[in-house]
Amino acid sequence: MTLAHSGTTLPPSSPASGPQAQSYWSKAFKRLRRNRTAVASGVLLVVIFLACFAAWPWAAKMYSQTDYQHTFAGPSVKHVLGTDEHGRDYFAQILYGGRISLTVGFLAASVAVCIGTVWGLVAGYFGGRTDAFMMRIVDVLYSLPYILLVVLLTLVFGRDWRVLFLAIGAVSWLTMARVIRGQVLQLKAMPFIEAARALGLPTRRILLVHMLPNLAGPILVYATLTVPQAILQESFLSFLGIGMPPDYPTWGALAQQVTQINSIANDWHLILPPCVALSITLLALNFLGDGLRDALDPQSR
Amino acid sequence: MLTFIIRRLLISIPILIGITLVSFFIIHLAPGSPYPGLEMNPKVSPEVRELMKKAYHFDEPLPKRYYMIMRDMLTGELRSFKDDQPVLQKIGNRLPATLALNAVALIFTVAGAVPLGIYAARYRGTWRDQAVTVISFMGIALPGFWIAYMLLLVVVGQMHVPVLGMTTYGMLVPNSGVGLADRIWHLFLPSLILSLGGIAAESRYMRGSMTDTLIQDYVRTARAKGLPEEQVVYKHALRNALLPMITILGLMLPGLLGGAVIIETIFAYPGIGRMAYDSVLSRDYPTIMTLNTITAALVLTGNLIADVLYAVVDPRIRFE
Repeated sequence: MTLAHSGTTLPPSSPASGPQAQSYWSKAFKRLRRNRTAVASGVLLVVIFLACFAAWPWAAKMYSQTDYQHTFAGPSVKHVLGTDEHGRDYFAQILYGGRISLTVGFLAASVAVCIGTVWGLVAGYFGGRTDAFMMRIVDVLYSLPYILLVVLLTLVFGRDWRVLFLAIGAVSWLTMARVIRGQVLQLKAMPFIEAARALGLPTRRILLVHMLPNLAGPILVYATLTVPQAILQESFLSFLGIGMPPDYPTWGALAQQVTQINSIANDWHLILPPCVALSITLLALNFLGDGLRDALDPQSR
Repeated sequence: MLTFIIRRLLISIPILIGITLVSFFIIHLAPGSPYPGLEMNPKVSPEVRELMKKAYHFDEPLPKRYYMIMRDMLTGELRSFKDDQPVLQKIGNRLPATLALNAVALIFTVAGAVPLGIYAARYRGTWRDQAVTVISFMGIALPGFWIAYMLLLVVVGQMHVPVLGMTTYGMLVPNSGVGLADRIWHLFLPSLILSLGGIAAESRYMRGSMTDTLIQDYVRTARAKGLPEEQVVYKHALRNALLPMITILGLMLPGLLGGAVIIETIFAYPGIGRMAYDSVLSRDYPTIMTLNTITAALVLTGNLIADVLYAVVDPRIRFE
């Protein structure tokens, strides 16, 4: 046990500890900066985030401001995207819904990342029967269409925003678990992990201090790619009418609402915005995730 | 090979049992019942309530209920809570429609993804490659339901061409050539939209696979001996680049079947996807469980076929 503390004197053979760590991340950052699409996507995402979150008080105020004299108004100076069936400013609604969509996406993705990382870490590190059993469970869940599982989960546990992001998170961690497990299997064979084991470090310490930092790259990449998936799944559910509760107009829910209105064919200013906002955000997140993968894992090109 | 297939089939048994366990416990751990309202209704006497409970086996403990539902499922005795029809028969009526939808979507996926991937790989790093990348990312980012809805607006709303359902309503000559054409047309749009996400994702894989193949030594040899570029790409490289696609297509099945839930709902297409959605909404437990099991069995079979096909086309693969 006395040796446990000397773990810090291990040679920095891992790419993420010691002075090399900075060079790995700064190299990755340099690579990312050269990728113009990824940078543009990142900037765009920051703008979307700022707009949705900073405009929240204004959007919330406009959300409750109905005006039945001017329903379905076309775009004008006062209402940039026109008004909806209750005469509410549509642009404010897009921003209002954006915050909810983004929040659900990020919360669901963090749930997925947590489950997936722990699952893959434990399965890969302990190996043998534990690994076989845990990965069999992943196989089981993989062969179920996830959308049915989410529908089932949201229906049985009620229509609540917390249930929704937990349910989406609970079905989105499978790929993550597989990727992390693969990485752990590679890491496990590396000399520095062997050394840590030989020193008798507690398993928890090996996993958290020596394994986890080396997994930061893939975790970051797949977290970025899970967010758009989660947002998309929420919009599917909203479109089926079983997404967020009615008080939470996400982009998917806004798109669905438009389809419920009769006079639809002419209301292009209501049909396009929620889906354009959704698509741009998803596109930017995907491009950023792709750029991150190229930057953090140059071999995968 | 035969031992491999048998072993894979044996492995899939615990997976299928796992699926039934997962579906069973998610359904039964949840509050709510398939007969909401009856429990609260003061006009329903306690005897009737007991009768209802008995009819649905709700008076039994959970493990016994699981045993009973499994026994009935395997013997084909399981009946829907909703209309008391045998579940297998209900599903059997609808399965062909979904299989047709998925098969056509799969064809569209291959027909779209492979040429796009080859094109992007041949012009790697140029604007053509980037254009394909943008298109494929758009396919991933644009929600399928929205594209479906737009198409409905244009095709049905503006052009007044019927696309909903499996046949045109009031079609009186279902067995004639016109009837067949009508069915094909009703299959076309839903499967096209169902395949969009797949085309986007698969074309990325195809591009990667083709890029890896084009830098192989034998491709250089083929070029060196002066073969035309077309022949190098389509005759020498393509065969090898297509190999990994077989596995990836197998992995696509759950997504297709899941996507069918949304597409079938939008297009009012009578397949098992919409049936699954409806049965979840009405808490038709026997139908949900059977559908989940059948879907999983389809997915596992698809993966097995993919693995076997891989071995058939690539003699280097050996099963130990």
